[in-house]
Amino acid sequence: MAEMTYSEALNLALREEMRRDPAVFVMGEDVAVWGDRGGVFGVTRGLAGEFGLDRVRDTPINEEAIVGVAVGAALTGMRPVVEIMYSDFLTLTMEPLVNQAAKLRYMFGGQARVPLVVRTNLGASGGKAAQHSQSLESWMMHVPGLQVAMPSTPADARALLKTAIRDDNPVVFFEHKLLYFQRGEVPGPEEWLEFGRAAVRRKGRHATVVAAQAMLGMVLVVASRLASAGPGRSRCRRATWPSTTSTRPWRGFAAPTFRFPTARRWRRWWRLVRPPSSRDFGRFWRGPGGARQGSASRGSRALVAPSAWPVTAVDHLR
Amino acid sequence: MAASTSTDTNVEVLRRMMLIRAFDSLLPDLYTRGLIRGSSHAAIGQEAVAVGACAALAADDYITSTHRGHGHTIAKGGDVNRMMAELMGREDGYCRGKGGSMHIADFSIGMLGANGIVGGGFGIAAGAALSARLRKSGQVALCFFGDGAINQSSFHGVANLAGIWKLPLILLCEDNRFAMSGRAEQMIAGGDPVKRAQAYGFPGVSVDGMDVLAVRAAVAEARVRALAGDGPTLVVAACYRFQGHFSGDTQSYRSKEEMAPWLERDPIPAFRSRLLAEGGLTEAEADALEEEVATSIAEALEFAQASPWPEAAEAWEDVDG
Repeated sequence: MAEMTYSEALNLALREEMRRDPAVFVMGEDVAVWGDRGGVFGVTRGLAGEFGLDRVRDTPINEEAIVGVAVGAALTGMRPVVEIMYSDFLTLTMEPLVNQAAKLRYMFGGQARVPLVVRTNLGASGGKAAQHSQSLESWMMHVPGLQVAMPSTPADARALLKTAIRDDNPVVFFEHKLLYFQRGEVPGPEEWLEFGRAAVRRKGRHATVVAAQAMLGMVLVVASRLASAGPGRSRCRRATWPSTTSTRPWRGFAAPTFRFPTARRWRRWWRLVRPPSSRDFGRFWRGPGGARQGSASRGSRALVAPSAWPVTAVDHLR
Repeated sequence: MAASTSTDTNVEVLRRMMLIRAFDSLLPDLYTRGLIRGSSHAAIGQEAVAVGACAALAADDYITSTHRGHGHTIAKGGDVNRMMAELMGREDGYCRGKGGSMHIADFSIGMLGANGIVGGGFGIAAGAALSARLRKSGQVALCFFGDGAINQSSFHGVANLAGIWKLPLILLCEDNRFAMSGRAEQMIAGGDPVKRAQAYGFPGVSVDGMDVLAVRAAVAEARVRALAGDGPTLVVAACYRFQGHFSGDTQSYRSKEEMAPWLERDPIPAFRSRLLAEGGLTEAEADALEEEVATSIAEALEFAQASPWPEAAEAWEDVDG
């Protein structure tokens, strides 16, 4: 068990898988030499030093070619892990990702496998406008043949990336910009997570909230507030593996319901969902021991939480 | 003109061209009889490109193909029985009936699939070339594509990447003069597609796509370059699509006068005459070859019709996510 950031946990997963399997290689824009030895968000930092520029390949700026070439490599015995710098740029990869990677195993009657991981990140972070802030995971979920992974903690980041790399089918792996510098405990080397299962983050009896990534932290804050406000304990799940065609339902999933609130309920509801105070932020971004999560010098702007609260979830909780 | 090669190989070259012609000639009849559905595209007139290129490759080299791909599979050594079964959507088809005409693949012979997307093979072929490089396997990858596909952005992305990384890749443009109704001279800026290679820093070679040995020689040279680590080659083979884009094409975009000189240069009778003239083949042997091919196709039809339909439950197999 070691404490590290989400970004460091992803880096560790890549290292471990590249050491374990020579078929694993990394490819993308600025993954080898940019900044502090690789990766705009530091996920591939130092990999080129350990594995060489053959297995950690900087590419020209052409997302379509990056994913297209990765599909061909995956079909012929390699396990490419490609980086698309921002998930907004997935739009440029639609042909190889949706028409080729997702469909070839099926259309070729099972004679091919496409063990491909497309790493990218989602979420808004600090004034980058609408071409660097999109969250396109639900779009990807609607493509049969693509699997979608969305880790919420450093431990999940490492474990899910290892699972994704070992999977024989294409995985779009969404990291979250606001989580890259969040710290957390990461367990021992052989830890990995089975796809398709949710993790219970907080147990309760009255309602279920499904949340992922940065919103998980928000939900936990609200759940704590609800618990102290007295409507009963709540249960929080982190969905790591949404799937459109999976036959395995999310255990414990409940559809949200809505009732028009009375004035009294409105007041009570507002107390629960009012915008967070600075005290709330402190609670969200500090670990149980009160330690600051992430380094103020390199990540403080990225740690500003989104202002939207999960109102539907709170309605449901009430 | 191409270097001479062994007679046995040349007879096999002729046989494969004949087999492609016979296979694709059957398509309209199969539609009429209701035996196949969906789209299928005949490569009649283009047989010399497919067979010439594959004759220059090793058995474990990779190819990617196009929507007009039956010929490429046959040229690489594919089994016409399983191809016919695939066209008919049967269980014994190459893709267990899930791919049909536009998605025949045989990974056991390095045939990484026909593709329903124009230009869909560029990334796959370049990726296979990168994989061969990383695994130090000594294989090359050849990407068949048409003059229409050279305008796709995927061509640019892959040509650039293969150029800087010097991948063992052969880009083989089947310039059959038409992208459906779009003429090459009308749709390709700069005119001749072969000029594009220069921009990426690798050779572009024009070859007569109606001459099977010329194609074979050009691809053999490109393969030597690829294996020597000198990177990709663009080979542009000038040929002509004798039939419509697909069976129902009225071909209003071209005249009989325009087609006539190309039809006269039909690559199969030309190569047959050449082998006869050079003494590599007798008339009797050539006729026997034609009969053998006709028998193969008849057997393929029987095989396919006898093959069962896939189970309904198979519709859910081989997909996750």
